[in-house]
Amino acid sequence: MFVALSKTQAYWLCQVFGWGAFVVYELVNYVGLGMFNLENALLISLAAPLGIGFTHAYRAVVMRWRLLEIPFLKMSLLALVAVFTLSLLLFLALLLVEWALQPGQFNWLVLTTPKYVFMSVLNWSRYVFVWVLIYHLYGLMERVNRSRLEQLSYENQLKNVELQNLKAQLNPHFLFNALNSVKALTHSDPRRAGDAVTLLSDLLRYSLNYEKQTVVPLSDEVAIVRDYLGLEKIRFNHRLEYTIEVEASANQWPIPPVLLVTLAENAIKHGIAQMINGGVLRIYAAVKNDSLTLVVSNTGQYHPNVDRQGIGLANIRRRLEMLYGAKASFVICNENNETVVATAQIPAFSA
Amino acid sequence: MNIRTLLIDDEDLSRQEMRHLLSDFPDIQIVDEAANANEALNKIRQHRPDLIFLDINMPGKSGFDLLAELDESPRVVFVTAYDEFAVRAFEANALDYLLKPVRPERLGKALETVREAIATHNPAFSGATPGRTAQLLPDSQVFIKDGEKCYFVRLADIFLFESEDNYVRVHFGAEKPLHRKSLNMLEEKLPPELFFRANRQQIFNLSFVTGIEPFFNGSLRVTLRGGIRVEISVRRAGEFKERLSL
Repeated sequence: MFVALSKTQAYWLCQVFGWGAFVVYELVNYVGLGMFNLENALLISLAAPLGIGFTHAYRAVVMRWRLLEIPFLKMSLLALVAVFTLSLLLFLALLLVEWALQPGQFNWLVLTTPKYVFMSVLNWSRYVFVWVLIYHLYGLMERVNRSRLEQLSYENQLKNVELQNLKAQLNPHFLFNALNSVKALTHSDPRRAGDAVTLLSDLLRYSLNYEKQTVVPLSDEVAIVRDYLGLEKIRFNHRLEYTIEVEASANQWPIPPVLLVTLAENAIKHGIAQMINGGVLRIYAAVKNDSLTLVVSNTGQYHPNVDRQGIGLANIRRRLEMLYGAKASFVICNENNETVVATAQIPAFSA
Repeated sequence: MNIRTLLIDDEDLSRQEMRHLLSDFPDIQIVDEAANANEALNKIRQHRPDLIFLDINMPGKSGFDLLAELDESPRVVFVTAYDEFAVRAFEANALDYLLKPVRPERLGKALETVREAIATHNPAFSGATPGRTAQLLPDSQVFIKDGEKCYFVRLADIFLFESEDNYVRVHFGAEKPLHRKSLNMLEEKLPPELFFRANRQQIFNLSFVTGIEPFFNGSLRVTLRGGIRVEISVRRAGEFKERLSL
């Protein structure tokens, strides 16, 4: 029956089995070569705990300095150095053991024979190499798995933002109010009701399709904002005035879809809709120094962290960051006691 | 009987649509319209309507804020486009609410409930509004907004008002929300035959009393239905005894 092991348990199991196998292999070897004696058997059996001790210390060093995170080439070098050092340490430690067991017979002069030292270290390195190889390969495997997970969660996050934008775009409060206005117009002004249905259709189509594109030309977005404002104008009547000023150079500039719609929607929902006498919404866009400046200003006051307007703004910031890194910026502030200004700086888009 | 009705909505078209829908109900007499909460406050004072259709999302003050400012509430039918917040608030106990665009048959049902309520508790609206000292009636409806929770409660169902800082904790049923009015202001408007000021902190409902016992130094202690005990201060004990002997 299998029992799920923790990582530490699995590690210790490997240590014990690995070095156990080493002991068995060496003993069988000695027997096979006819060199088996008690002294050799004792030394080999003592080598196993020493091996465990040294490699465990190495693992502690690797974990302490997070050496499994360093680049592959550096890590390979580190592993080679580790193999050599651990083998040398094992060799020296076992010499000490030998001396401790039979101080009278021990000859320190072996240390002065480079060939002997080299061959012994090489001998140990066969085993140590296997240990280090397995350890680092496992570490690498984990690293690859983790980065794949991170990639997945990043993509997931991106999707989430898109979804939230979609939800924000199809703001149900706006939708049902618009439908209610249309219903009222059907008996008082059927022609306008018809126009409103067309505007609403365009807006719905756009919000259902926009996520297929990463960026859209500003002019597309402006057209949809005009539809949107047209609908809100029906609803708010004289309480809403708006101007849209887009310099010719800005028309084709690529921007993330629904960015401008979201800004306009926020301006109305949290600004103009809250004013008894309504207010003015202004949209301005121009390209300067290879960057689009997009300004949405409205009557009202910006209160950070009040009601739920934080979510929409945080979404805008996150989207800009994902598409442009630190090159884009978004700022919202009160221009004076009665006007809020939101300004987005959007650099050229490179896929 | 005609139901005098006030329409409150910040959108012209929305009010126009409501007018259109209500034209099918001859007993609904629209006395006026209001486009925001302040305007509505004045018009409620002026017309004392039996019923208001109230939009929740309005500039400045919400429909709830408006009701919370009134001493007593007319019959209310809420009208909202889409508002999770609003629907959550209704769980407590509200008359009714309609979703925009409004279905005529749904409106018909809401009006039936209103007619029923007016028939059982009539007259419901005494006209007591801020700035007016008219007395509330046992059947008057009080709207209480405590944080995100809203309650409509009939005055006669409230057994205890208890001052807490500058506000009043209102006890009824198993609820005890905080009402943003002062105890002294409330006392002036409560019907004296139903409510008694026991001490500086508490006003209780006489019809809920189940027991009276003498307490320290000539003060009294009454037990209300549900087990809550209220101490009547020495200063008030005399008047209480007088009231009981009547």
